[in-house]
Amino acid sequence: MERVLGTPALFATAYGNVGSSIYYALGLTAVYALGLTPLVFVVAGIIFAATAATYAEGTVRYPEAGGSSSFARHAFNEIVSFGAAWAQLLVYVVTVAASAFFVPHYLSIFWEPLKENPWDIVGGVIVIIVLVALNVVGVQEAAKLSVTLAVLDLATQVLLVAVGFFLVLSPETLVDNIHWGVAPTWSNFAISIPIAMLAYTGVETVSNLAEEARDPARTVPSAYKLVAAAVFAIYFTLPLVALSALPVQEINGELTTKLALPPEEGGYANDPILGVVENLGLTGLTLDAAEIYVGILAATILFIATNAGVIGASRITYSMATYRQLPERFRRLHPRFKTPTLTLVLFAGIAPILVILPGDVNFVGTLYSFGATLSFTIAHASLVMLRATKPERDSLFRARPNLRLGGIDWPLFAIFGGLATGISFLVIVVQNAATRWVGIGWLVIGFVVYAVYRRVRVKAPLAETVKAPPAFGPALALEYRRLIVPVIAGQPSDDAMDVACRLAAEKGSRIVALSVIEVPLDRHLSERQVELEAHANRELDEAVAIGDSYGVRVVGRLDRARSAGQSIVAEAAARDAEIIVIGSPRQRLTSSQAAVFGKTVDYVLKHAPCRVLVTASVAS
Amino acid sequence: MSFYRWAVVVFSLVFVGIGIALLVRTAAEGGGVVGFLLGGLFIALGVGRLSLERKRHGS
Repeated sequence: MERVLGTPALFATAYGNVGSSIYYALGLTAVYALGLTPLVFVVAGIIFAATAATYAEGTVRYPEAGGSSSFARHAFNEIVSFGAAWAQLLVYVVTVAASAFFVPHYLSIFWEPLKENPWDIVGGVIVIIVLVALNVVGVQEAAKLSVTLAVLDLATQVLLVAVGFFLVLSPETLVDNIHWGVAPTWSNFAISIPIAMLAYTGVETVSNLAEEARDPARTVPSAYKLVAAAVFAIYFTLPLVALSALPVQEINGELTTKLALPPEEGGYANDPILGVVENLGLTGLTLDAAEIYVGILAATILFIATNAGVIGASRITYSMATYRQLPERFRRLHPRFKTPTLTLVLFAGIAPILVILPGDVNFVGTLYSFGATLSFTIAHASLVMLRATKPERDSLFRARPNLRLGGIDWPLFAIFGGLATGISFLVIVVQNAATRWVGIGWLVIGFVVYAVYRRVRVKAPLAETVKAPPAFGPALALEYRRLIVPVIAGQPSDDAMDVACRLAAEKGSRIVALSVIEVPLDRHLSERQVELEAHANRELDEAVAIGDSYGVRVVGRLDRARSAGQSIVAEAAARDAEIIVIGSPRQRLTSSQAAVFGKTVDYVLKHAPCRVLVTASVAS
Repeated sequence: MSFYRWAVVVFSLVFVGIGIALLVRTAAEGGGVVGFLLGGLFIALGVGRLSLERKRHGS
């Protein structure tokens, strides 16, 4: 990942995840929606837009990893937060399973049996084992490669749509594909909407990266808007091409599309995008080249999406253990590899393998929807609750549309999103027996473990937020791993950064360089201050460069607040920092510096939740 | 121009392109309400978003 996470990096990473799911979601949705597949993607896309708006506002409010779990902690209590996190963990487990399961399907261009059971199961299991092993030994993800592939993926999908529009698109066929109430039946149509949400796997990616973003108040909403636009451009148009190329027709006495049929019946449910390519009307060498290109690209992107799921599962489990929702052993690092081995093996290895062992792609799809719709519903409900109970007159970002009633700005997007995802969750529970029992079983096991662990080990009420102390080994007892350095123009700030880098010399330590723009009360916090922002960004770039020279990872964070001191203290608390290193000049201050640093150092010393080290520059 | 504005312009143009392609394709097939409606909506979306962006930044 590039060192500064701005809108481009957040967008590319999020689309890398969201865009990968079309490679399996199209076929899974077509199984239920048949000729209504394009309409179903439109409906699911509108729900996605509402969900993205909720995540954007929630993440700007609380720029920390966790997504719905974090929102629920602030809006409700730790039990609801656990429910959201546990559902999200299920989503990661199924994401790993689905992505890995479809890698062999796209590689079947080289060896046909990979498209079907049992070889796709074998291939998927191998993919999972390889990625878990790589993550256990701690191989770094080639982030730049992932971002490049995400861009290539979007470009390829746009190209497919463009070629499809000119070669096969037929509005008449799309209308003829629809047989209301017959193909699909109304119940299949109802279940197809939550299943289509599978296409939007990865909406929480931006939230999870928010801690690393320099200016979340600006970059997070922009990234979400762009992902929504990209999703709109592809997910509303590719199904039009797919259903034109593979129309609904009578096959073996049933109205269906080859997009929905398994490979043994001559269909493309297991590799829908390859099916689209094969039926675009291309021939000869062009078709061969297009198939090989799409097959390799899809397999690579799904491989990377599997890895993102593996990392997501380990991160959320670590976070849950940090909040004492799961036993401490889940965040314990391997003494040699320094990775959460137990978590990786259990939740990113064994659980996804169990999900793909039956070899049923529809089960994988519905199980994903079970976890995702539950997690999204909690996210929407949390945002509505936050607006009602913790209204921020000074909010940095407020999604729209809203309805002002009784002094509260009710978020219509969250209310609509919550109702839609809630109903979708109920549809999945009612209509699919296997998913119902596995999903409910997952929740029951989770809540039982949570309740027993809380009562017996933590000895704390279930609803109370309890944070575990930092997980230090004996060798790290005197090391600092999370440091905050407020930055401002001038030598004292650079000196503080030098000192912090020396303290953070231990591998794995991270410094957050924080630049606060103090906004006077007569201006709104979200108002653009171009010059001050540019200046703050330059200071943050310099801080990152100082970190680079020491080999220490520095994350730049730009915040807007009424008081710099309050912002620094809040950032230290949110990040669980162990020390704040703050520079203070010895020489006489200019009036503008005194206004910020004098009172700021004083405030931080009085209110910081951790140690504070004030460094004084040599007088000049 | 920031990445965000640049991306908004690109996506708007993509929507207009999709809309035009839909209209052309529908006309080539001898017409159809769905094709014309979808094409018109895509063009309206692209043009609308572009106009909004121009208004917001006054350029």
